[in-house]
Amino acid sequence: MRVFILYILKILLVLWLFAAGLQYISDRGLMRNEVSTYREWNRIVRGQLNADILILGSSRAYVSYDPKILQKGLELNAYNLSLNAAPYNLQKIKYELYKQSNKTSKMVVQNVDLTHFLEAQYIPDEFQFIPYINNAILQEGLSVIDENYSLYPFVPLLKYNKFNEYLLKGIRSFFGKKYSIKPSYDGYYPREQNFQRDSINIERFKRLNTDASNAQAYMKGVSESITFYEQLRKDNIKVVLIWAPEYKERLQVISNLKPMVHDKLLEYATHHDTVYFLDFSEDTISMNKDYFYDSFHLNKNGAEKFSKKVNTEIKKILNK
Amino acid sequence: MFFNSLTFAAFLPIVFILYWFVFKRHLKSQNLLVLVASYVFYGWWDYRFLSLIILSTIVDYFVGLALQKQQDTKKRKWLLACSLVFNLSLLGFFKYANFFIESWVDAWQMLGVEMQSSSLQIILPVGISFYTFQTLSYTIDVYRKKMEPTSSFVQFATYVAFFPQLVAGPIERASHLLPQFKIPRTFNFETAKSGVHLIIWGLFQKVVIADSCATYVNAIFTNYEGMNSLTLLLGAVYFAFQIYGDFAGYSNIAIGVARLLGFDLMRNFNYPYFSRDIAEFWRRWHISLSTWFRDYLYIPLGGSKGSKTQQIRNVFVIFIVSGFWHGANWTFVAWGALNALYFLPLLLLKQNRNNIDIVAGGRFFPSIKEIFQIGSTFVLTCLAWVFFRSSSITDSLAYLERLFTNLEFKKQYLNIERYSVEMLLLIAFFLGVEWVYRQRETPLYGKFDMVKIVIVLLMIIVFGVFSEHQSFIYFQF
Repeated sequence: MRVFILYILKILLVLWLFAAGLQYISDRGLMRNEVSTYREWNRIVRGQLNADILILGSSRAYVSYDPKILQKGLELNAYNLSLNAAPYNLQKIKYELYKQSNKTSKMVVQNVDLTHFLEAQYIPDEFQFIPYINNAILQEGLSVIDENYSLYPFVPLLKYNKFNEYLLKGIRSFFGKKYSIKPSYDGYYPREQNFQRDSINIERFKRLNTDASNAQAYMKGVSESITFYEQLRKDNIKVVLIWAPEYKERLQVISNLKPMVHDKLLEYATHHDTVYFLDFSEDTISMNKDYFYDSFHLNKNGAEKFSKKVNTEIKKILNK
Repeated sequence: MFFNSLTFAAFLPIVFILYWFVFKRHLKSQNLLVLVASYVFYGWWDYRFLSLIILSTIVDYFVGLALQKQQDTKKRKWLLACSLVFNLSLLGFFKYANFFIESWVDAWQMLGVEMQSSSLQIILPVGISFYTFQTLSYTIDVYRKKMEPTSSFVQFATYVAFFPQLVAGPIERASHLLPQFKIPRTFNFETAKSGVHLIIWGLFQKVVIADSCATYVNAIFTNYEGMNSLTLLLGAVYFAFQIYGDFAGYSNIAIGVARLLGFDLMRNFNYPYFSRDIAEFWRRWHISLSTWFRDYLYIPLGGSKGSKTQQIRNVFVIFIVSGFWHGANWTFVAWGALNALYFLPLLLLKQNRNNIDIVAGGRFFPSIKEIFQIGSTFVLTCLAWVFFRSSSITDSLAYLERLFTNLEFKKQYLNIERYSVEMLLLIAFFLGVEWVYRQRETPLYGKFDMVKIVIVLLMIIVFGVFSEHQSFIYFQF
């Protein structure tokens, strides 16, 4: 029996060593890849961003806020820390990670809209987290959404289970191969596309908008977000909430639920002197589909026009 | 409780430690522990159906004892009939009641008589086909005086409910398994080691091969109307590996777990996809069921003896009943009948025992003839699997029709995480390992076993399907 137990322990030990070794090689390989989405994550965890103005949001912020325009206009260091397809609770995790190693920003620009306040039920673009999952903040935050994340620190290589190709990419990258995975400019991913009607999303929002039970879910998101904004305020950070333009067709669809969220944010901003709420949702941009690539997202033209407007407004706030 | 679950990963070490460290010196306590563990294992799924197992155990235990005491042939027959009627009624009610009701209604509707179908709300108890056949084999063997009945209720109950093979086999014979509960088990390192190897290989078969194939199979069979010939062909091939990986995986884990506790279970699969004809395939596929039907149905019917008509009848009976055992659907009957059609020419031409030796014995590579034989047998098997997997006969026929008439061979996007090339490489690796070990019962066992085990475990971690918990296909049978 003793021999058998030793045999099992030996298997586990050798397995762990092999798996941990492979994981180390692949993680390092992915992190080494500077022409990829990992470049941004590297800069976050290594404390190389240190932005004066930090932009938070989901895909809408990701494609709409050009930090270059803000940097030029405000003469401040700006960075777009948005996370594609991520609502408030996931954005917060990315911000916490940023905060861990970077200097405190002067201002946080938070893009808001209805979907922003619906809690994440899944983790989008999971591949981007792979080499950093052992980071306590990410691990703890993501485990709440997907309990498998709590196993990843204990079972090496398990995090590559859904992303086999990244294991290979990481290993090859470790040995010198270069991969290009979605390069960005300071977190900004402009889209040079013409408008295409996103019927599926419109239909989905029609359903969400007519279901009264969603109101509670949105308001829960608003209330938890306000707690987050209060933390920012405690750190002496100005909070600018911006509702970026949505195409008019979409605005009609969300007309039932939007006022409730909008009014709550406005009320919150009105009562706090370092919180600002800028509503661009019905700006002239919203009327022109040349500025959008679908009803929810600005294209590069729209993003430039919008970023300039944001720049003007932020300048006013900074001069107050 | 599923073998591929964290619950079982915790359950097995607990049972193992209690079994070998706490109850080591007491055979009765060890048996009782296995019985309790077996009931916990089964009850984890649905404790209400434990009553069926216990009832079946009580009936057959007392029938066995009564058969021993009774010398009158007529009364012995009555006792056997009691056990058969009880067990088959149980199986018939839980598994086939709705099928018969619906078929009855369909038959009348085909004759133009409108009838209202009212299916019963019946949940199929997991593993009922397996433990029912196991208890039946006991009663029949005692009736045939091939074995003495056991006087120990705990031993008999443990034999019926033995958790490693309770829900999906191998279907053990009382003459093989029951005596093992009567003698003290001693721990043997090599046996336990081979058990670990079987568990790991079985897990690989299940979570890497079967469950990965399942994602493709589900997508293809559900939407076969929109698929081209290449995708439909892949669908059939992937299902062949899904069902094999799933079932052989379960059997290997079962045999491995039993070995950890010092028990020997019969082999259930012997590399069936290297068979050179259908007769060989059936000697290598689900061996415990095939031999059960052979011993308790085929031979009593006359087997391959008698007139040609009797032989044909016997072949069809055994294959159709075997198909029907798998599930209450005409698709399983068609699958059985098709296999009978494949098998019949071999039997009538007395070619059914042509390939009883190991393929490419003494050589690493098979001959061209063997490759052709293996390939053609696999193609026939895949065609039959289409019936097994489809939800109706109409669907199976439409699937096959489209497969042979569409004739488009472009790669189709299936919206599945895993790439098709990756899947085919995994299958190639799997077949490669099976080919190398085709002369042994335990793959991976032997030289450099530590390295082989670690590689397979790494593959399980990286390629295993854990995102959706997949139960074993044979649980439903």
